[in-house]
Amino acid sequence: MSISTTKALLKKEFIENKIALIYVPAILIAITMLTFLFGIISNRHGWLSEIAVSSNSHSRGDIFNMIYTSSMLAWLIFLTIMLFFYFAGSFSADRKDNALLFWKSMPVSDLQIMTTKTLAGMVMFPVIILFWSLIAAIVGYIVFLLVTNNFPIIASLNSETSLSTFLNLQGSVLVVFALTLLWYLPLFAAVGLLGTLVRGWAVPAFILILSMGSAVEALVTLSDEGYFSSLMGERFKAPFTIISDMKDMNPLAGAKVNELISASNFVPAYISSVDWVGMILGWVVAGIFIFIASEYRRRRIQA
Amino acid sequence: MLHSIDFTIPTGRIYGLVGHNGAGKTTAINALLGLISYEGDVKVLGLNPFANRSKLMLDTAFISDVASLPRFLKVTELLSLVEDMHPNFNRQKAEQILADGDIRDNVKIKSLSKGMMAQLHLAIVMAIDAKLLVLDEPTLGLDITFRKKFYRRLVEDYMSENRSILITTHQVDEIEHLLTDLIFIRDGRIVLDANMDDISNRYIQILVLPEVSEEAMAHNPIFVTKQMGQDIMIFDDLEEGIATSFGTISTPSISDLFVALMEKKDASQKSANMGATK
Repeated sequence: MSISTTKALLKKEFIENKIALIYVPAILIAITMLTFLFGIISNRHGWLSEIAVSSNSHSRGDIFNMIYTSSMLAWLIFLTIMLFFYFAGSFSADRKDNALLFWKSMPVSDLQIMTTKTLAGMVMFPVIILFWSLIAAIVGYIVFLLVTNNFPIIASLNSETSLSTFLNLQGSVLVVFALTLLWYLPLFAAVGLLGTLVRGWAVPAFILILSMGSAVEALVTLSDEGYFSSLMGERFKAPFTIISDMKDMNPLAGAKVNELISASNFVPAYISSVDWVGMILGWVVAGIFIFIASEYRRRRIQA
Repeated sequence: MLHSIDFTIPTGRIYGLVGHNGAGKTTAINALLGLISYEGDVKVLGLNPFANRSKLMLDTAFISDVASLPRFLKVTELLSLVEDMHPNFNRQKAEQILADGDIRDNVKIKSLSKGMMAQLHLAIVMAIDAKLLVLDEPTLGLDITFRKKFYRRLVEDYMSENRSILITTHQVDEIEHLLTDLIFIRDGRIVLDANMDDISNRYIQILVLPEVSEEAMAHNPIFVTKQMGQDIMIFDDLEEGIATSFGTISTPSISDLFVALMEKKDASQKSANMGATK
């Protein structure tokens, strides 16, 4: 498949999902920032003074970056949920308005289209969300300057905010984002495959299959710790378990303000915590799901 | 469902595929385009279409019988996407064709009328440098002016000796003049596959003189109807000398021939069924 075809298919996915990628994050950032600004300007409950007073005046840290990177966890959750719905919808989206016939008149195979949809979900969408998180950082920094101007005590506690600490945090967050999404890839592919079969019912069907699978297994084995439920539980929880286990050095786990994050320490530690066998097996399973979805699509011509 | 149909479309020909609703036209076309699996041997431009659909689409363009353009895109976005995806698409040519109509670039496809949507699809298809063009009811929902313009453009600007076109339509009389070959399909079986010259030599329509009507009937016309009190009969392979003695001879139109051949089959089926009942 040529680069221009891949570019065109990615562009198509972007246009089709513009609401989730552009409007929703923009509105979320605007609402969050407006809420903060309103809180700062009104300072109705004196909450800024409380923060300043309760902070240990001997601490020196990077308050802005710590608050910002904590918000990255919210972005990661938003992205993960968005991707579940994206895969559920996009694998069957071309069937809307009989458009499947039009796309099939183009010299692109069904497998190439499904692979590009996966690429869009795993690369293009996270890049766009990270772009939004940077916009949020810039806007948030302006808000933070307003705070420090009004409350010099916070400014004095924030002696470590710098571009270097920001880049260290951002680098660490990038690795967490990438590996979390790659860990979830087989789940995204599974919901995508269900999307090709049952269209809009993919997410409920996915939940139903997981629940029924666990329930049947529990009935058969007379245990709630069966293989299937453990496997699925582990698949869902693993990224958060790693974050929790690395609490002292993880930017997403609320590390102490005065502990600066070093990407060169964090990234190798995080990578070594990942179950790579499980990761690679997950990719293989995802590949199988995507192939089956493409073969099903290949045999479909109607909406 | 199709039953052992067998036909070949050489280059430089315009084939009309005609049949009732449900006769199997769209199924045949879908098999040719690799959109459905099938039993048997199908080769289009030397390729097995189901196994090589994406490769086949480099040299094949088609319009299905339903409006199928993605409606969430703007016209200009669609043209850009096709330009990037299809190496044989000429955007300038598509825009030239569209310039004749009243479709604006920056409007969403979903806001176009059915006719405008068909015009846009036709413009895209005609801007693809394809060896085979398949049109399944291409002018459905379009007004007569555009239909005429489209078919004229198809023959004058698009058709060449290196291309083949396969058209299905219910408005057969409109394409009669441009067809080189004709296939009638009924219940998944081909009932006629011939070029237009052979058809005009083989089938004749006679406005039969009243006094020889009974004699003409004795030569087993495949179709008989009345017009202004006079019999009109269509014959298959009737000697010219005999035919001229029955009345005024003409070539039947495709629609008349279609009705004739379909009713002939109906009649034979009816008698077969009656035989079975007895």
